[in-house]
Amino acid sequence: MTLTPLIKKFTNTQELIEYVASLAHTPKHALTAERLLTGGRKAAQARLTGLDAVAYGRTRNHLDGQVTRLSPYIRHGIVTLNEVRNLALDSGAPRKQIEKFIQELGWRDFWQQIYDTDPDCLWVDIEAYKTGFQPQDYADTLPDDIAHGQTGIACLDQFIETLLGTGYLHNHARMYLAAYVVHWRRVKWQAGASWFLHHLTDADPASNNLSWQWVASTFSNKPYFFNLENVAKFSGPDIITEPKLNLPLASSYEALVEKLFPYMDAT
Amino acid sequence: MTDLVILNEDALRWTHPVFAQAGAGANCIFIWDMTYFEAMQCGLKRQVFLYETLCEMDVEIYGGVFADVFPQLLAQYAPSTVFVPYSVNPKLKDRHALMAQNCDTHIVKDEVFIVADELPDLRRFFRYWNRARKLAFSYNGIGS
Repeated sequence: MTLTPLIKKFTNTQELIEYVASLAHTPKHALTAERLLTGGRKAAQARLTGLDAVAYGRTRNHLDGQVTRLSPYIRHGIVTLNEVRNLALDSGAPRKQIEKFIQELGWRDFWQQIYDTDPDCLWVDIEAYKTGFQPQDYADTLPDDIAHGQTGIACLDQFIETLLGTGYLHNHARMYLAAYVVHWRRVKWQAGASWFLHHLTDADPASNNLSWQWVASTFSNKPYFFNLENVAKFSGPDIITEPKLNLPLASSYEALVEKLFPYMDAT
Repeated sequence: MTDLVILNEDALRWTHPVFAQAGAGANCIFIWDMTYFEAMQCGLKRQVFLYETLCEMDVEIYGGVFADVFPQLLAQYAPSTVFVPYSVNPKLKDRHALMAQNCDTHIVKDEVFIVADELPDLRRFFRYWNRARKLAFSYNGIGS
């Protein structure tokens, strides 16, 4: 019996979305073409044309900074790290000004090399938590309010809404969410990593899981956490950072250490 | 008999070296395997992105479980050799092993970020970066 290929011609992207949803047996979904990153080499090429590695280095930590959004294209081999790096070198910018950008490509290579040499480490704690807690102190599953963006913490709910609606989230916002899940709610990083994998268009098991481990402190020397002041510093005007709407985050770092990691010195 | 290229989600571009190795005229296939997507926790948004990418490429997409569809494709296309892009993903490595049991299979690696003589120290990023930095700032990752 001859196999019949699947359809490849669509009149518009929304039709393609409906077709892919039917293949996945998920007829009910809220995806709209306007909110998603466009697949394909042409879209990647457009992003490469607009690449500004110097501006990236200057503004990358800001949620409205000039990040490239090349990650889904790199993730799926539509463009390569080598190609992107060579393009950055072509700009002729001084090495110091493009260092952060090249280093970010290095992070991706680093994660991939770990995946290649030790794939089993991706879902287990590479090292012990340095938070003062043991693995059994963390919940196994992601609470529903986080999964649906109803934590009651305004800025985090905005980030979650973006994640669920677009499949993309700025790296800094990913770190905020990861830290909140693991350190505020004391949920195992694996539950959060799984959640991100499902929703991110650029989801790569190595980059994703090892970054979660970095935040959790099972693949770093200390836990990553943040406070509202930090969110306000790096957010644009669209993100709600009023303290009364973000109470659990509205503290000094010293106060948060005492609250989140009361036993940290004991380990 | 012509060659067959079996693409995977890690290598979705025409400039991948697998196409140069397979040569002109090779048929290119992608198997849309929902079992694989579920195992990889690949949600609908990423599936749409992948499908959109595939629609732009000269590749036939076949739906079904890889282990079931692949033997049928072998019978249908009767390729002399099957070429596949290398992947670090163990699930894709398992597929490659399955293919190699059934036909002449060539696994083709992609271009790399750095060309290092030995595997860098991967215990921490800074250890990796201390070794990789010089190569990372060279075209094609090749040191001078």
